[in-house]
Amino acid sequence: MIDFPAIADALRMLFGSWSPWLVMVPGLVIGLIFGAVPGLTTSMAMVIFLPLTLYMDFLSAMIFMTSIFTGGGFGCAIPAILVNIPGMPAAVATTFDGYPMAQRGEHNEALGLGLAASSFAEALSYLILLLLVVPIANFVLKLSSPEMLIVGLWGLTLIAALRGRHFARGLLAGMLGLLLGTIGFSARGDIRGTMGIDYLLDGIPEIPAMMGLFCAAELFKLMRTDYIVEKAEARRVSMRRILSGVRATFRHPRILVRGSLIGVIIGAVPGVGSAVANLLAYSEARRTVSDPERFGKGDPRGVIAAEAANSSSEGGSMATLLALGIPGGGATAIMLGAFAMHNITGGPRFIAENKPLVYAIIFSNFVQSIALMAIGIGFIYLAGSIVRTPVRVLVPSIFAISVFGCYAITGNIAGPATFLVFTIIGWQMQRYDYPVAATVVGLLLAQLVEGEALRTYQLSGGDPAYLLERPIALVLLVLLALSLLWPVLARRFKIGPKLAAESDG
Amino acid sequence: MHDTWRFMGRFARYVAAAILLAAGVNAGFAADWPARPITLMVPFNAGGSLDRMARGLAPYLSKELGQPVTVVNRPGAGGQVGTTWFLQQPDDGYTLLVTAATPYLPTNILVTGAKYTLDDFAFVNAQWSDYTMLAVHKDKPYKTLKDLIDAVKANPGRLSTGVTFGSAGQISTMMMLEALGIPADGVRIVTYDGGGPLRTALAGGHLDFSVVQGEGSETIRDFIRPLAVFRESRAKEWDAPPVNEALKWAGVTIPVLSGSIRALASSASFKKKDPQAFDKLTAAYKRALENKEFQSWLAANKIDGDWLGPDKTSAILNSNFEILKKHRQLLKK
Repeated sequence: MIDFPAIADALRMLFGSWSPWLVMVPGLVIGLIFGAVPGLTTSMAMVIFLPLTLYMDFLSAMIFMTSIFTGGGFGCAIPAILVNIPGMPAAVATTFDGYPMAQRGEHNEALGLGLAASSFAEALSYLILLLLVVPIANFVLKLSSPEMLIVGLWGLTLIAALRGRHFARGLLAGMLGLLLGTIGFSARGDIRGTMGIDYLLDGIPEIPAMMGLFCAAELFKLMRTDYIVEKAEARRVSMRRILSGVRATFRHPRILVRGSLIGVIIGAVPGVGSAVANLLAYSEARRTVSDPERFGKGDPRGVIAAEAANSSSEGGSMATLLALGIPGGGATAIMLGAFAMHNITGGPRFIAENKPLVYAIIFSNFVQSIALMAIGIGFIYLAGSIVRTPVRVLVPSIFAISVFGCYAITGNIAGPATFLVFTIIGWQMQRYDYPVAATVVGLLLAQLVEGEALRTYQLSGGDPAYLLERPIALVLLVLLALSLLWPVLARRFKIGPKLAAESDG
Repeated sequence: MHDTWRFMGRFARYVAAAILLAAGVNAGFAADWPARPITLMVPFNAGGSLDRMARGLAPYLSKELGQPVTVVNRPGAGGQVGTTWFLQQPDDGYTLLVTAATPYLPTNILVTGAKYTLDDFAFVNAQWSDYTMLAVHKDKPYKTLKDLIDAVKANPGRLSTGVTFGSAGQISTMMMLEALGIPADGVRIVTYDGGGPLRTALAGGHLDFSVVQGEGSETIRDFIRPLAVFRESRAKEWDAPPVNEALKWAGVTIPVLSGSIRALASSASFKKKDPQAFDKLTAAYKRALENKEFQSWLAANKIDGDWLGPDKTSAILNSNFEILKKHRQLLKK
């Protein structure tokens, strides 16, 4: 698959001039900031900075855009870990274990874990892209609605794990999320539950709703404390402890690699992306370890899985973009805009005719992954001051930033209004012990699951035998069943704990 | 008494002067417009095709009108949120609408219960129109529209097509099937959330055929084969006959519906209240499109720079709207 003369050309393109390197660091910093501020997203950063790429050559433009992408992949973990509010849907699963770690005073380690997992996964995803760009793209095109439906259902099984103290309440919270997610236009043209409000025709804006649910849940709880981290001596930002988090990441190679692989595949599928990838990777990590009961209480492995998956989905979505010219999500759709500005059309011919250029983009991303490590640590130093800020200052600030961010997301009052409504819902849910995370998972997956279920029905003409014509769907279904039954099977045959402990240890 | 008359006379002169002055201000209205910056309202997200067109136009329109022209995005509900907002602004011509005049505007009106009608807008020009085309995946055996229709008729309810709800593609698909006497359940109709996912499904070979955007399908060129374009004449981008030529063997013709039309509009009451200012806007837009620099920008960005003018634009939009209205029941299941 690798074309060595093209690689030589690629290296010449990269090292032949300074300009490709000058845009990398600003891109990473922009990505980190937009990822870390709740309500700002990577795609928003790309829209804002897209016009700048007009003044760059195409390679520099792509390096700049992918740097923003890479920075955002870790940036969103920072508020997730420090204040339990995911900067983007990509970091929802990061909150599950990242925030409990921070509360224990292990925020340095948690951020170190997130950074190392993000950097590693980003590099790995581009390595896979280098070797398998065309096969991945062709595989992704083979996935149709039945396959996507199974992926969505797989994500939904996570709700069972997020149940909190009461199983039934967890399911109920998840169902609420799914139902809320069906508000608005269905693909079939039915309008559901909009109560005559035009703003709801597009459905509930997911990010403001998600932020509202998480925000209320956490901020109201925080009101009774002085600082996020109770012990004063634990509030320091310590390089030693960040680095120990970085090292700890590589003590769980299976979790790290599996999370990355899930991210690459899910990221490559058009219309899904990192928001689903982190949930799937988290739930798979939880299911395959010997001691799943430790997840959700500050287990480093949860942070690794989620952060590896949300960062590696970048490489996956780039595969679809470069090899097919099809954008997988918001960020790559904007990159397609950068393609258009330079009069380039993605697609099979683009890769065949521009191998050195594609390789150059990939190699620059290996460098980005290393640069992210360095810049990320500096960024952690700055962000770490959040835990030293008194809660009475922190809570109103986060609230205000979130409201502005929500306005930026929707461009009208619908964003802040949604945020406030869901703050109240989240507060009440928290009060009566319903897990808000289950509602968020339901809300994020509702459109995918509902739409694909509808299309599977339409494609099959209502005939279940249609599934038999779809081998990939059957394989996925078997995998899903095995993965659900794995804990039971493992216990039954007494192979689980020992085997899993050895391989993960 | 005499004084009173003098006073009345003076009063009458003042009134007359006031009336004249007011008339003068009114007359001067057209001459003055635009006296302050103009906002182009785009009811869709930044970065989309409509937004790119508006942002490209803004500086050149500004040059012609001598006032800054800025773009504001208010996305939501297929343009309905921003369009409603636009109509709530004063009708002084300082807020103009850049809209997807087909298919979104009619869909808002006919399907999603918008509180406006087509008559609330005065269209200036349809700058960028796209057509739809019927395409199949390149590995499918159908080489002509007849091959495909024969297969549909031989396998009732087995072949699948993809649509996005309320689009010109959906209506054209339904009109064609109806004209050919194929019942609604004669094909499996799969509904997608947008043109992007629909194109991906077509490129992946999951659908037997679909009516998709012509120019907008450039990205999946390598995966598809066009069988007919929904226009009066052949298109330069795709090698396929016009749909009514491709349907000649069946002895049917169908109305040709434009795929998407991106246009600039003011509120209808602005045009009515101040026709001279509206003409000024029209002339400025026309001159902007004649600007060589703008033309090369449009070419580089693959955006059309058509000049149809208010009358032709309104005529096309009205005829499209009538087709959509007439076949609205085709959207009902």
